[in-house]
Amino acid sequence: MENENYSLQFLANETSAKYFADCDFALRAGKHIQHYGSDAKLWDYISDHYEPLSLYYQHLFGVFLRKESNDRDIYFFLEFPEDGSGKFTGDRHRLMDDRHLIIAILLLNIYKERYFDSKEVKWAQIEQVIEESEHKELWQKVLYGEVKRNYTPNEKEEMKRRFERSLSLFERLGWIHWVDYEATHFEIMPSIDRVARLYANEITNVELMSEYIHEQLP
Amino acid sequence: MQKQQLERISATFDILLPQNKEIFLLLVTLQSKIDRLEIEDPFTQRDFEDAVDEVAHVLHPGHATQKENISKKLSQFYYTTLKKGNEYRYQLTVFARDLVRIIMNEVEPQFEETELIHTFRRTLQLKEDDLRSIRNFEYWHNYHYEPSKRIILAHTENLQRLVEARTSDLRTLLKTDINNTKELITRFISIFEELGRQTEGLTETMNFKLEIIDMIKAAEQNFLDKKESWEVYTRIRSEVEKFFDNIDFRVLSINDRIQLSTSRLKTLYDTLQYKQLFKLKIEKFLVFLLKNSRWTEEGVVLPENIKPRKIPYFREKYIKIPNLNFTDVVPRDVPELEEDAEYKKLKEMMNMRVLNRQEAISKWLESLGKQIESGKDVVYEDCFQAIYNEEKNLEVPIDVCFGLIQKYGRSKDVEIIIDKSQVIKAKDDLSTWKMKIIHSSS
Repeated sequence: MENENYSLQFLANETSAKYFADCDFALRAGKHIQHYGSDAKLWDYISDHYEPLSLYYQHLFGVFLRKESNDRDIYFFLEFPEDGSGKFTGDRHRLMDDRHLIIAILLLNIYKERYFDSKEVKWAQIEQVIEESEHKELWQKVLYGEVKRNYTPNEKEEMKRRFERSLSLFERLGWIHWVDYEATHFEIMPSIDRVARLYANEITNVELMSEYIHEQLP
Repeated sequence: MQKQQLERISATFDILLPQNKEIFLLLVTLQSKIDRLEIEDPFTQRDFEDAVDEVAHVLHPGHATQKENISKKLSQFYYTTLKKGNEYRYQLTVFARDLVRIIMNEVEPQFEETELIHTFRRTLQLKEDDLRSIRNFEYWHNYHYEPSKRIILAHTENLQRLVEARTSDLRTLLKTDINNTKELITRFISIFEELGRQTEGLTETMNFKLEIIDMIKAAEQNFLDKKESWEVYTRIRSEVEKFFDNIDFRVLSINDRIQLSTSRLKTLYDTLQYKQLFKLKIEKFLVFLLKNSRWTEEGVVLPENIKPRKIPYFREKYIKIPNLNFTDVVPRDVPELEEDAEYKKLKEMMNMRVLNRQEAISKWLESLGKQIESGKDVVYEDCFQAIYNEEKNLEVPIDVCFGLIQKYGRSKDVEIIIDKSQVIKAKDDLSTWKMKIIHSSS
């Protein structure tokens, strides 16, 4: 494809030799790259080569390299065009699972609630939401399948395992960072904001959707 | 020693730390009246009784208080009695004053005084004379450094608590039903900026520590001559260094918190309305998802109007043996056996025929065997016909024939003779060998 604005010249420089491959693997795996921990160097690299990298992904993969910010924290990620997924066909993309979405919105809500506080979350705090919050019965219905007074240790363990599977996906996407994996202790990262962007339309029109659902009910 | 101490504290505990709040409030009231010069120090019996009434009025309006009882409880640790002229007067003990100061500092930290640098320059100041001998250095440690350390610690603890309390108050800002939120934010910004100034005051104090530590390090050679002096010097030096390191870390962490909150408050000021609404909508969306999702065997299913979004996903795939958890396996019902009656009947008939044939073969073999053993010769040509006539099954005489050959073929007592000449005329379209079994002796 000929394009006078498009050039792969940037790949020839020394920093590209050092960081491009890691960036590319991470972005293509769906990761949101933030200035945090070992990703800070990748963030610096993308930040310095944002323009040529954007063109690279757009021309060769048919996707967009995006730069978004949550308050002052900037993060990078690959986004599909509205009507497709570029070269990310077949098993190169996945759909956000229904359970993953509910848990992601929960984490987003916690993140926004803690505007001034630490974003670290321990499993006990998640349990508190499921067992003691205002909507505990709705949570139990969604996570256990039924509302009961008590759940057996096996049922609790199974529910925790399912929840952790979602957290592991979020960790790969860069939405959370494990503080202590064994203790299910993690920190919600600014890029959790991407969930709000992915579902911005639904969030903005939540009242309309509720009305629609009620109208559909017999 | 420790046991004796514990026993002493235990024995006097009730009067050492009075078990009701009236007494604490009374001490605070008396001390603040003295500070404000409303009463003299030492104070009179009348002053004491007035203070008791004031506290009683706050705690139990309309109730009488037993003043003698309170006075008795306080007499041992909290005040001393002095004679001034013709009257007796009371003076709060140092213990009582310290207790009041500690309580007041917890309730209302005196942050106006956090410009500690001036106090420290006076109390923590290390002069050359303090480092001339180990005795002077120990004196400085006990009477200048230790009290200053207590004050620094108390102020950092208070500051930390205050920052946490203010940060926790900030959460209310994101609720939409607060009136004049922007004014509230402005107030919070000024509170946090004031806290920031307090931290700067502490940081300045921390810088002062460098001078102290440098001076202590420089005086090292003064204590090299005696082992005891050197040990005391190194102990104090290491303690001072450790304390300042610890405080440095705490002040930095408080400062970070303040800076973060201040900058977020400023950002919030500009985008408040949008943020409040969006936060509220996220919460609504979460409740919407929870209320309208269904649970199925496959897991949670969202309402139909929520379309799943695509995200890049590219992972190396490894072939892995599936991890089967047999404890979760639900046993399936074994299906009922479907029987084909016609086939079963056919099979039974066939089996019965085989059984009958075997039985007939055995019966004939036994009968012919008896004949042979009784010394009779057997002309099988005749027997063949007889067996066939009776059994109406050709297989029976053939199998009996083979059975006889098998049994007597190698026998020395009998001989099997088979006439191999061609049979001209077959009877009933059946040709057989002419076989005889005769005894060898005949």
